[in-house]
Amino acid sequence: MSIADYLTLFAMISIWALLVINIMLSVGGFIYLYRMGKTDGHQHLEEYPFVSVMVPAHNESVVIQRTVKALLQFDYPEDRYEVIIINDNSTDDTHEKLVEMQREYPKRMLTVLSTDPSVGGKGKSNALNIGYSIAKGSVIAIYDADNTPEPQALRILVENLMVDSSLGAVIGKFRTRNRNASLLTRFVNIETLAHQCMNQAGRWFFFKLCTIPGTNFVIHRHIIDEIGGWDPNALSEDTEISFRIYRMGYKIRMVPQAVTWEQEPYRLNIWFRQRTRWAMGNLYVLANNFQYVFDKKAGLMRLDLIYYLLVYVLMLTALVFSDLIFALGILGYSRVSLGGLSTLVWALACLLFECNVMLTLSLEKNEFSAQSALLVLLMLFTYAKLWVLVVLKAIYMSLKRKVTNSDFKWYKTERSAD
Amino acid sequence: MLYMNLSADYRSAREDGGSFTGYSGIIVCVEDSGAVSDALKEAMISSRVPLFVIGQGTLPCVTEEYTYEKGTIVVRCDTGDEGSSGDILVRGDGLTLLTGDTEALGGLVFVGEKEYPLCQRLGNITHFAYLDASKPIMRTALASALQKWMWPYENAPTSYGQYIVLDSVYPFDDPARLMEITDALDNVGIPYALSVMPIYANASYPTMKRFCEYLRYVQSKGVGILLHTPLVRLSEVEVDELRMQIDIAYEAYSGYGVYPLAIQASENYLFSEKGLQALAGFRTVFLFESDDALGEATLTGNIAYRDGHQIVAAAYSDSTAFTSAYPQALYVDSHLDVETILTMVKRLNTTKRTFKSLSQMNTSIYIGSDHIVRQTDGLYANGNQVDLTYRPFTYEENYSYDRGIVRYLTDQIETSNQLILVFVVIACAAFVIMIVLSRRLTRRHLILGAKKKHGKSHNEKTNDQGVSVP
Repeated sequence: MSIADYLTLFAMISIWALLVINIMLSVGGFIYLYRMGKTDGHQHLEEYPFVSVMVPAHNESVVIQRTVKALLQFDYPEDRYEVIIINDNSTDDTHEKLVEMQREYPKRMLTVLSTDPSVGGKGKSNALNIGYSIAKGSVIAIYDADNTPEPQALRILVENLMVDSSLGAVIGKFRTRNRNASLLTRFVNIETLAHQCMNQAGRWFFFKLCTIPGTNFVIHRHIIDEIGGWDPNALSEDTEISFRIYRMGYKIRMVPQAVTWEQEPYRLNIWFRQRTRWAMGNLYVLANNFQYVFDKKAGLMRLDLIYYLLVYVLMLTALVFSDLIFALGILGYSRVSLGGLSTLVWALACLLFECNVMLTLSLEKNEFSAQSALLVLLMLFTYAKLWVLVVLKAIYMSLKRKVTNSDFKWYKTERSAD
Repeated sequence: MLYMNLSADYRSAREDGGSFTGYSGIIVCVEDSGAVSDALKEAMISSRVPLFVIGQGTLPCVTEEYTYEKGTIVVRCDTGDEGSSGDILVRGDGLTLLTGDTEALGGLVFVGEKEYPLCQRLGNITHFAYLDASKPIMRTALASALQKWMWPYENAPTSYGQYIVLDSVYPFDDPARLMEITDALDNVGIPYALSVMPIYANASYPTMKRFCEYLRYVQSKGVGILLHTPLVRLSEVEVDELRMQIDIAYEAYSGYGVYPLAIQASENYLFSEKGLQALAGFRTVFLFESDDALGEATLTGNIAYRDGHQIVAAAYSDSTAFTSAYPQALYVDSHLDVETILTMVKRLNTTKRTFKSLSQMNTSIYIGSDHIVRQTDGLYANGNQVDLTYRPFTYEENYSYDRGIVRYLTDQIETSNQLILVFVVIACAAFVIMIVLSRRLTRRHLILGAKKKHGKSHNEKTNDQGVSVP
């Protein structure tokens, strides 16, 4: 057997194993979402806790007013929540826009906290820690500056957090506001629904595990106190804080009725930089928590670690090897002599992927269509391939960061007017 | 019909007006004399234009001097070998023969104990006595006779080379037996070629190495090697896959310094675009008859000339090659016993055929990224002359086969494929059910949502992207 044979075998087994895992998660996710779909997501509460809604904003002038308006329109009792915007070292007119908003809503608890270069501009975690220092709520809610949450979102999140003491945080669902801006945003929209929503729902259904997505979630204040705030070195503070919550023995639940709409990158270069940062963040979290894979006391967190390992190690290597062998085979540099490998099996894998994603889309209005089916197919051969490049670049950047011991320059995702 | 730049017109014998002006020859083939018009009969009798008459139907119309005999006839081949009675080719009923001072043009027909030429000439009439067009050998005999009839010069038409090919030699054939055949053929002193079967895996096995050592030996003695095309039906294989298989098979041999000089393909390759693409890299192509002849006949005509091939057509392995209008391969089954092979080859060696050596044929092969050229002064691979001298190979004492793993994994993958198929069918069915359920749920939400909206003002609106947002 040649090296190409071994690598092909490895890639084939890995890809099918991951596909089966994904299908299982989709089935679990479907059951959970179907059950939840029969409810309105609300829980009965005698008393609503005071909530601090925190929004880190760095040069968000284009979108910030719309976000603030949406935050002030929550159907949560007005006197039971405050909105804190951390204007993190913005160089545009974000501050002025926020002051305008304060004037427009003088009776609302809207705090604008502007930082200067000495303390701000060091990333989202740092901004959240600054905002947290003045937050009064016993429950903290986080939204990104480009979000327009639906009015019921906060109430549903808080209700679900308060009725179950085993929960450390509750997350909602996020949707793509600028879905039709470009082909890329169409892909991101599908990916968001399939990966973020269905996958999270499946993990909750089977393992009572969810990963905080960075926006549209609520968390108990005492948990943040216990973990000592957000890790300023983490590039994906959401994954990092999720792991720390798991280690404390809490669960994180997803409630699909709490929806926020966010703006996704509509240009490839913006998307690539954003995803590279996410991947670097996840690799950082993976490296920092790898030790817990072998620690029985780590509990459910081990499952999530294994899941991340499957994605960032197994899936990455399998895709790299299979693409490499395919390309070298076409160029005539490598040949697989292993028998039994069939094009039909490859086509079946594509069919399953298609069905899997279409199931996710079927749960949303205006998403399930023949056009979407074609997009999913196109996505498989284009957008999905970009993920490999993103992770490879993230690995390179992470290694470079480690070797040179340099700070990562936080990349702020560029926004556009909708 | 295209031969020596001649063209042909076709007419109905029953309706023909009998004008032969402008024609250098007339070929008449009808079942019975009643099928010939009077005008045509008159023209055939009075004209001095050469006539080629096929079968018994027309002859009574053109001459009174004929013999008509009924009974079983036997057509034998004319090998040109003195004292040879030839082989029986066709048995049939009914015969009409020219008599008189005729010139025999080949073939023998037996009526009882009497023998007559199958094809003979008298004046301007050439008569091909018997034709059973369903028999390939009869068609070949007719083609040969027509060629001689149309040949405008003295002596026989140009003689093309014929190649003896020891057919279907497998790597797992007994090397000792192969050496025995080689020694026997060397003693006869007749040139021959070897057709080796393709292999795609395990080329490093000692068996293959030993086989290639034998091939290196015969190659060094001037025996040309042919590579047999993969044993697949053209209709069931993709051309890229076929070419890849040929590449793999060629490399399995060339890796040991054995360079096949031509490819051996079934005749239907010439009538298939896929087949022609598969042969594209080979200048020289040996054809063989195939049961798969109609399997992939996607082309209406033979356009192999387009690729500049040297085609060596299949002759019949029973030493009955009538024609010499194109190069031919006489295939000898390598799995016959050595004595039979030797007898056949000795017999061929006594005929007047022109046997040639494949190793002396100028040819070229593009295979993968390699370019193999056979020129008068030797064999070149990618521009470098190849040393064809035989040197014994060395063998590892304990060769590791790994065959258990490969076989095991291949079996496992094939079994897994079936399981995957079942899994996918079940999963897809489950997905369809879930999609139906979720669509029903989504529709219900839409209806409820619409009622709600109707009932009270709602904060939701549609953005310029057509997406509903608060």
